Amino acid sequence: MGQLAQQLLNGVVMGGIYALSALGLTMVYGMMNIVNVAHGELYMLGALFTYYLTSTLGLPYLPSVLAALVLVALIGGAMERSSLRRIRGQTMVVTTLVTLGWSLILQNVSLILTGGIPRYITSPFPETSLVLGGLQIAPSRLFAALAAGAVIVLTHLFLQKTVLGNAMRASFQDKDAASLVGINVGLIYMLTFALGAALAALSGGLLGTISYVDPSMGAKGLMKSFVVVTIGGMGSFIGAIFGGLILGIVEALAAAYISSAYKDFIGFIMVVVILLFLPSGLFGKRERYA
Amino acid sequence: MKPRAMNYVKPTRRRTGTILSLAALGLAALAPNVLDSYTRHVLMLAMINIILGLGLNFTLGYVGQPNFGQAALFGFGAYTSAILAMKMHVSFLVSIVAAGLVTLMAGYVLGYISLQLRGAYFCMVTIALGQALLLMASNLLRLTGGPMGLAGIPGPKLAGLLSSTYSLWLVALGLLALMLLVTRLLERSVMGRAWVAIRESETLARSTGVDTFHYALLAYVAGALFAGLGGSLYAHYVGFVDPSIFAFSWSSMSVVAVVIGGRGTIWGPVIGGLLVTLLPEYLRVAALWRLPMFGLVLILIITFMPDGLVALPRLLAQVRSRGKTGVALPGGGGD
Amino acid sequence: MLELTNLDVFYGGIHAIRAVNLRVNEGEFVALIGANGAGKTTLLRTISGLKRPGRGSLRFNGAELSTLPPEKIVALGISHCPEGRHVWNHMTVRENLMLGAYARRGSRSLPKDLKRIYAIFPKLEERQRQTAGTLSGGEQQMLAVGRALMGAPKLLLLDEPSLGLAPVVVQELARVFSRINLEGTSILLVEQNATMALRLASRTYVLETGSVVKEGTSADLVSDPSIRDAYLGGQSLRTGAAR
Ligand SMILES: Nc1ncnc2c1ncn2[C@@H]1O[C@H](COP(=O)(O)OP(=O)(O)OP(=O)(O)O)[C@@H](O)[C@H]1O
Ligand SMILES: [Mg+2]
Repeated sequence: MGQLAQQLLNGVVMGGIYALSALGLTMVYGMMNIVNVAHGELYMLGALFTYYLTSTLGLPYLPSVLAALVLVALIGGAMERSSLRRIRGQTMVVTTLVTLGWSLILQNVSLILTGGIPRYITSPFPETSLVLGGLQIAPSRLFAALAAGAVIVLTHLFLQKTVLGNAMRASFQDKDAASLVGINVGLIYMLTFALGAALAALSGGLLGTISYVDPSMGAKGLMKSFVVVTIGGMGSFIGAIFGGLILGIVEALAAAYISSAYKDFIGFIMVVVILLFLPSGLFGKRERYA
Repeated sequence: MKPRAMNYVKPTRRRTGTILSLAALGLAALAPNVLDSYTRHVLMLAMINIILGLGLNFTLGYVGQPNFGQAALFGFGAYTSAILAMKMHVSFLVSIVAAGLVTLMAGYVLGYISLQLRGAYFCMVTIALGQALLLMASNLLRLTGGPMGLAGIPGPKLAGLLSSTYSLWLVALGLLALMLLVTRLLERSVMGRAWVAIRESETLARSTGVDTFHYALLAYVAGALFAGLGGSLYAHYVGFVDPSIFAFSWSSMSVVAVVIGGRGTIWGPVIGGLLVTLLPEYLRVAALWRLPMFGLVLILIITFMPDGLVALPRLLAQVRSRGKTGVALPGGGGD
Repeated sequence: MLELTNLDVFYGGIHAIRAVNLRVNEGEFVALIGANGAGKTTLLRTISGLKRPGRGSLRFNGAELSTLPPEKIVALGISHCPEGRHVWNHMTVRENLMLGAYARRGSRSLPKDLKRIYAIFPKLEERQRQTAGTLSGGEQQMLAVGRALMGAPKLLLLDEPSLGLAPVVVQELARVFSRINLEGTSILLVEQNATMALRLASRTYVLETGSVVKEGTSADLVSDPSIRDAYLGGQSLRTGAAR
């Protein structure tokens, strides 16, 4: 029983982090209708920049994460401005391939510049686990999960309640109408993609203290985010939260009770099974037949 | 994408076309005798990529669904051949035919599942199925050799005379020619027209009585057959398979080939398959930087020619005719 | 206030607006009528910057509009209520209206302006938390007009606001337009409903296949026999049908 509770807690904590790592992906899809294959690389860059800022420049952890976030947001903005903008309205295959091109560039340039060595971001938190009512949790994980929850809520409030957030939603719902009330739609496209990149970077910076950092981590991160987003429903915020939690919990339980070799396998099978019964995930808008 | 007109081809032109094709085929069959082994190797890989692309083109190009899971079928064919050849010691011919048929059946199942969905969700399921197979191949140690894969798959010896690589070259060439022919026939058949109708508007196609699921599934299954044969060729040629054959990068490279060549055209996958094989090879002079450069080229081609390189002559003609009339048409821009 | 001189607009090879001269004076209510495809929408889209002109000039209070992007044009005080409403279906009525004031976001007067819109269209206040997609066609049109008014424009461009609406609603909108105009906003109204346009506007332009073929005071045009035949011929039918 105690073990089950411990696994559930592990699952929830990991799930929160998964949810955050998928948030940027689901937002960019939901608003811009782009499946961003480079999402994993942006997440990797967030972790990599955080690593260099803390270890090479010796900056404290949190300012490093924020600086990494800004840098990656700039890269995201540049991606949008230079290429994605030109193919707006093209089919999904086309947009996906352009982000695939970016993913090749970002991953391999990182590999060339940094080498493939796994690195660890020094966590500012104590190593010893906290014990709460018989359950153990590492402080860095707890922090990452809480930060993930806070960021998800803040992003949601930003989009729903602020003028800029509303302008973003408006621009993607009806571009002409947005222009006609004075919204600079081109700028909004860039900001939205940059925001998605920033969210990816943030999750990378937070996860970097839990797991290792290397240029190939993006591919794995991307697959996890795909699973989360698909289970929850593409483009849905609540979906990302539930998708993350479900994946986190199921993986924790599978690792404990079945075999850790099949931990990842279960996520993909879940995608297939859930979509067969709920063709647009748990919370997604129904994908219309083209 | 614009629907291509079904040109009426004059009989004489068609005859010269056939003669030219046969001549080209004959030259290609003799080519290994004059090519150095490196070029031969690269071209062999290109043929396999083209075969893979031709198969993917059915769902991706004609039906218009974002299929990012072609590697699942490719890997299925490769593993089928590897297992048959190594554990059961069957001959090459049995191995490749079995790989084609087994993959075709697997394609029916996988297609049946994934085609319940469309668009981004279809895309995700095709990716998920590929990943699930990857993990299975890594874990079914007894059957697949696990992460180490299976090594030492024997190549064929056609007529007992030709070397294994030459035999495979001829088989690949023959299959390729056959597949081009089949694609042309399908494209002009009722089925091809149904596919394009689905791509233009599935709702409309369904409302006019087209059983869209059925036709989409047939496209997927045809693609599976091509991929299975290609996978088998690959396994026998390289002599080695491991789970990375199911990786997202294989699937996406095939999508890249079809799209930069030209979706929904016969020559698109040919041009694209050549390009995705040759380009990284030639960029090898840039050693370290070849993959980032490949990414850049990919972005440029797709951004400026979303219809692929087959549309290049049309684009050039447009530019030229605009140049001839002098002033470009006034106005233009705006929205 | 607004002055178009020798304006030409093209879609590729299609010459949609041909050498049009048109002006709207300060505080004036001007109508533009014409058949389907005459180029009315194109003209408004060119004024608001959604479409770039080929040749000619568009001046608004001394500023040249032809090279400005839409958001700059809105900031100068031009609101365009587009053909076909174009409300944001997934956003609430209130969010739609508040975004109408995007160009002057942060202005202190927004709550007061919102109240004013609600006073003009009480229906919208009742439905302020509903998403725009759930409104009826007439309500959506009111929302589109309300959103344009939230921009506090000096010049309001209206593209076929009466399209598809019941006569009662059209009457209601007509009253609103007169009132807004009396309160000082200049209006350029595009209509196929020539009766309504001629009744409201002090001056009217008639557009045919991209060219202005007639202009004058609405009173003159109403008594012009050619206008009668071409544009008001349906008048008796229309009122007949309404009864
Ligand atoms: N985006 C476009 N591309 C090409 N041609 C266009 C485009 N928009 C409009 N046109 C053409 O320009 C001409 C004018 O169209 P416009 O929409 O301005 O007419 P309109 O007077 O508003 O008609 P209606 O009363 O039907 O709304 C038409 O011939 C139309 O076909
Ligand atoms: Mg119009």
